[in-house]
Amino acid sequence: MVISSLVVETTPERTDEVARELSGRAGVEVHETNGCKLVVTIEADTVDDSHRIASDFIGVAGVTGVNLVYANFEDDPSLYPDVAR
Amino acid sequence: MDITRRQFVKATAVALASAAAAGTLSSLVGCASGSAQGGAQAEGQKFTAVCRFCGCGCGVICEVRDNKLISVTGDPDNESNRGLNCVKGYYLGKILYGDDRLTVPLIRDDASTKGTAEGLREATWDEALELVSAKLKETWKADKSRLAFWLSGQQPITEGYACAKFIKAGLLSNNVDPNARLCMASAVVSFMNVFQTDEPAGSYADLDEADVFVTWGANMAEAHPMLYSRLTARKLSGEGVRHYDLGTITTRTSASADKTLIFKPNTDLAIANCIANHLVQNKLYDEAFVNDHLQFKQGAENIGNATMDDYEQTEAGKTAENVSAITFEEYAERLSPYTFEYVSELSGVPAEDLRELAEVFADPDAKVMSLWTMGVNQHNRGTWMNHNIYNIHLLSGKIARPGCGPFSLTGQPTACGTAREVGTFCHRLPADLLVANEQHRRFTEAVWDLPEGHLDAIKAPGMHTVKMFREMSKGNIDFLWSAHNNWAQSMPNLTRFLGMGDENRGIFDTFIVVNEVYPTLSTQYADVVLPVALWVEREGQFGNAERRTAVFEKAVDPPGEAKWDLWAFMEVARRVLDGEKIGDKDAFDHLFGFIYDKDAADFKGDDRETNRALWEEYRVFSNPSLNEQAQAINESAKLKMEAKQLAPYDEYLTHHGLTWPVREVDGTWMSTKWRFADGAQADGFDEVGVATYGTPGLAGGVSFYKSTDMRPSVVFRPYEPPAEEPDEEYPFYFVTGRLLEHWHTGTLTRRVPELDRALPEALLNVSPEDCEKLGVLDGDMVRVRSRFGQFDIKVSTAGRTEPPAGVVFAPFFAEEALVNLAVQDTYCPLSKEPDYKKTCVSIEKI
Repeated sequence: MVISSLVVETTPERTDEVARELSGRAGVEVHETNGCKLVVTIEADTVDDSHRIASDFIGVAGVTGVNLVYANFEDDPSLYPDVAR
Repeated sequence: MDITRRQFVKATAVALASAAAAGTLSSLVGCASGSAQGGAQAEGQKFTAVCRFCGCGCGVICEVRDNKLISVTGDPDNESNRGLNCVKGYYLGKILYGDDRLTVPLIRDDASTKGTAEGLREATWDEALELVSAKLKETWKADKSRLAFWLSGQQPITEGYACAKFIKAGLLSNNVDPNARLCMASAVVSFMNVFQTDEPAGSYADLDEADVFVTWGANMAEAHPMLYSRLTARKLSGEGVRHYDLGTITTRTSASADKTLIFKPNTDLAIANCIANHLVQNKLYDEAFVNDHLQFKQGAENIGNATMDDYEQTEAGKTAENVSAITFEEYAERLSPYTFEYVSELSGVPAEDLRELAEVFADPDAKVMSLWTMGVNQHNRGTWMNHNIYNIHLLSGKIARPGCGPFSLTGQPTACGTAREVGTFCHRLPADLLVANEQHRRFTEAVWDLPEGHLDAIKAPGMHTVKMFREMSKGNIDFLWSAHNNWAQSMPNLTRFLGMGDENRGIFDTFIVVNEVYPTLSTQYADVVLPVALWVEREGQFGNAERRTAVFEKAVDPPGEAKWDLWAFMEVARRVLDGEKIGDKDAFDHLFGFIYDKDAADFKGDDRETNRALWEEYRVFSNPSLNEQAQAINESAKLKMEAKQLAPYDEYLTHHGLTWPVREVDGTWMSTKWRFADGAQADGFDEVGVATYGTPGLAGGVSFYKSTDMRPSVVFRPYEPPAEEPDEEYPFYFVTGRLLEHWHTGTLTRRVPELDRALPEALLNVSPEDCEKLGVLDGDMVRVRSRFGQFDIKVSTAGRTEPPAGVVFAPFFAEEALVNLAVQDTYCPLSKEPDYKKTCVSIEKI
């Protein structure tokens, strides 16, 4: 499981609405609100899936910015091909 | 991942994002280099780094376990991004782990297989290095005008520095240029013309304080997402901040602007003059600033276009750089034709919009920030357009103070740090020095401990990029070595340069060496491919657009037999220079003996020690007091080399990056955010520089101490048309550029399946009106032809850009829709940077 966290920025009047919308998405949790910013985590099988989910946030009405803070991909099965290092 | 580990990782994720939202991330992330952190559960070692992708220069913390990168976190202590990354950050780990990483050297035995995916066989490093060295030495000894090196704005600083030293001091050649010629050269030449120093006066901090943003030919929302995020955050501050977007097409950046001004190609020159004319004719300029700081000039005009190979031998070509002094009154007279009415008719922008924009610059209280990238630089008058933006900021005094300033954005992570600051251009030496200037050569000889006069052999500049590839196509280059770029996709006029016609097939006879991490179009033309380390597989440094230098530490080993680029360059250098002398000393040892043991075929120290040693030598250029002879030349020739002072290497690790000039005040090394602006160094102002060289107390609290007579030049540059204009045969302008998901030629981002799926193919954005005229629908395949070549591509009316009628757009990331086959190689006569934005094309359904 790839676990990542983001700060999603919103317009002031739509912060709560965006929080509700994002919370309804698979693998997405909204943990707190700080002014117009939402603290969000994404849990998905791969980096690819995580990226897709995060990229879709920008299409949500009221979202003005999607900022990645942390991405842990140690369990992504598509990474780390078998090449000696 | 077991449950305990998963809980820990998730708790970490939440805590980090929560702290980032609150602005307290720094206290949580704090990273001591290479240290394990957070107790037994965290396990991984942490390393500071800088994002590998665009020119923003965002800091990241890499976490490593068992020699594998397992996480990335935005670095809160890097002031360029303060802990936030864009969604490309997801892939920083993944770019290291593509299935098709190059892990062994490859050799092509049959040149007729060039241009195909076949023909390369595996080789040992020894065989590959011997072959490369033999070919380089053969060319060098026979006729060194026939060798060429093409480097990059993605090459770390110390690597670029060592390459420049090898090529310029070792091979005594100037036939080296970076791919930054394709993106930043117009900015560079303009900086030098206007200020006599290659640098922006402001910094990213201006984004947090401006009242009005003006973007000129810049799709920041896609090309510089983190900086655009700061811009939008400022807009949302509720303080009436406005954004005007100017361009020839509507982009995602336009979508969030308060007003978008779509102009006809090249009329940006006239729009800027129109603003200047309004300021001058109505006495709305900053009179004290003009009197204290500025001088006025005009330059050669009607300079034609550098489309043909002999342009530089024509009268227009030979005189294109000429300028002469004029009075302020003469400047005003030259501007006078640029009325709102005339420019509105020329540009297609409503006169009231032009007036509104001009009033922004006329408002003495408004803090205005202009931002621009390739729309301005990749322009047949790119240097002129840079001038014209500076002109309006200088006239209005809106420069070099917080929130106010013209800011040239860069597209690559270290176009500034390496290509520009180190000087891997054909006319440069390190630290802004020029090969053609005798005192600059003497100073460089002092730093490099070369006999006086050694560098006189390179006083004539070498071949700039377009000339290099034009000469190769004509069979006049025998040896080409490229690193950190993908020229076979990114160069314009590829039909010619890839030898696709009956003529200009020189590429098949040139011995080509390509340092690469993945197979690319360029490796398909290589005679030797050297597999190299990528990003944090070795230590390096990037220098971004705001003068910030940051180190990325080595975090993991490269795969297979891949090696650090610098090792490959050293191994070839020691072979080629074998038996050569500098004075009475062994040439290789004299140049590189301080870092490299040629008998052991390896560096004397580890990555850190090697980088530190190279940096400390490079640092002498901006700290001449460290070298007695250099200091004497610096003083006698008044070079002001300390004006761009760099700090000791370890300071960059401690501070997670510093913005030059970096000044030591009471034992602490401090950045400078606002160049030439008087004020406390601790607050980011240029206190030490102004005190040392400048004059305090002048208008605006600034002193342009690097400029001739301490006065930057306002140079009148008129409107002149694009190199070609639409006609019956080629009725559309074709524009190419970058989109968010894919960076440049897609070498790194297209290894990433998800990014590829998000934007699976390059599409030609065409206006609905033109689609109707052409009889094409969404999804139809069309052939796009120009005077230079052709390519096939799918049409979209719902693409990421919305061009007006008569203009079409496609990105250049896709190999399968190789748009540069048709793009002109006409370049700005002053900067030699090609115009990728205005090739005239025909479009037909196929």
